[in-house]
Amino acid sequence: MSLFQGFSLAQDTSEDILHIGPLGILKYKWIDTLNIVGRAQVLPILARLSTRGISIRKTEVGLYIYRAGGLVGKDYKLLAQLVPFLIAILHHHGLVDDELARVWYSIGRLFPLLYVQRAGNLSEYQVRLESIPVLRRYILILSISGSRNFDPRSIPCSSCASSKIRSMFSPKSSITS
Amino acid sequence: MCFEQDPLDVLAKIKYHKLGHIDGDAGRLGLPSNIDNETTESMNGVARQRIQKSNKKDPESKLVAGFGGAAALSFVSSGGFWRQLDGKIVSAGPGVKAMARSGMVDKLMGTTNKERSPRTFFSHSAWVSDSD
Repeated sequence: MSLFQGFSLAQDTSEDILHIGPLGILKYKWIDTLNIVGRAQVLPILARLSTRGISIRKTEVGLYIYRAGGLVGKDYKLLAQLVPFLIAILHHHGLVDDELARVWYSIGRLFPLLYVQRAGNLSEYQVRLESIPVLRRYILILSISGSRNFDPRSIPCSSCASSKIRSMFSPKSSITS
Repeated sequence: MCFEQDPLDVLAKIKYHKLGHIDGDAGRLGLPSNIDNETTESMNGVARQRIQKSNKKDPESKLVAGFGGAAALSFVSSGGFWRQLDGKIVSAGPGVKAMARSGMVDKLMGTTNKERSPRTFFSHSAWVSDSD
């Protein structure tokens, strides 16, 4: 009998929200957004956004743009509260496409849920997490590949899963909507 | 200007992959903010600074020795007890404790007893059951 019966290494390992949230999806999307939109275009709009209630200083706005990859978790948490509004402005003027705007609105809904301190009803909390478009897409991809309950390295047949996922998620499909 | 993410990124990149597990883990392990490690992660900066200021010859063992010495000093100066080789349990004398209380150790170690400034997000964890 195994010593760790009933213990699943993949499922019972706790998440590390610092690295999968602020230093994960938010960092990558922020760098991608800056590369797509252009740093010079983002800077004046970000500097003029109202930052009432958030401890961001106007002098530091350049750092968030020109050192986008080297910030700490605290800075990315500020960006999570600020950038959805920036994207709303850019989207209104047609500077970003619908897909990018949808991703950022999802992130804006995801982060308050990640850092929520109390949940009266945990299953309701899970339902709210699953209703976020980006997360729904990720969960769907993991379910199709068969790696939802396993370690990523133990996917039954990674090449079959890859072709299946590629056919289902063609670049123009709108699964996330 | 297409922003469509390659779906295979989600399998290849472990950070995206773990994000897909977050709803299931909330049911298994509780809210993610209860297992947040951001505060301890800031120790990275201290370790990095120590390595940068060293002479780059075997920096890891010096780092461990330095942290160990600091922990021992704070343990002894705050009135901790330890067992000597002959089995006697001893603690620091009144002079050492008085020096620790005078703030000299804090000054030497670079630590502070001041209250911390409030963080952007909540710094405490809380849990309420379904009935609340």
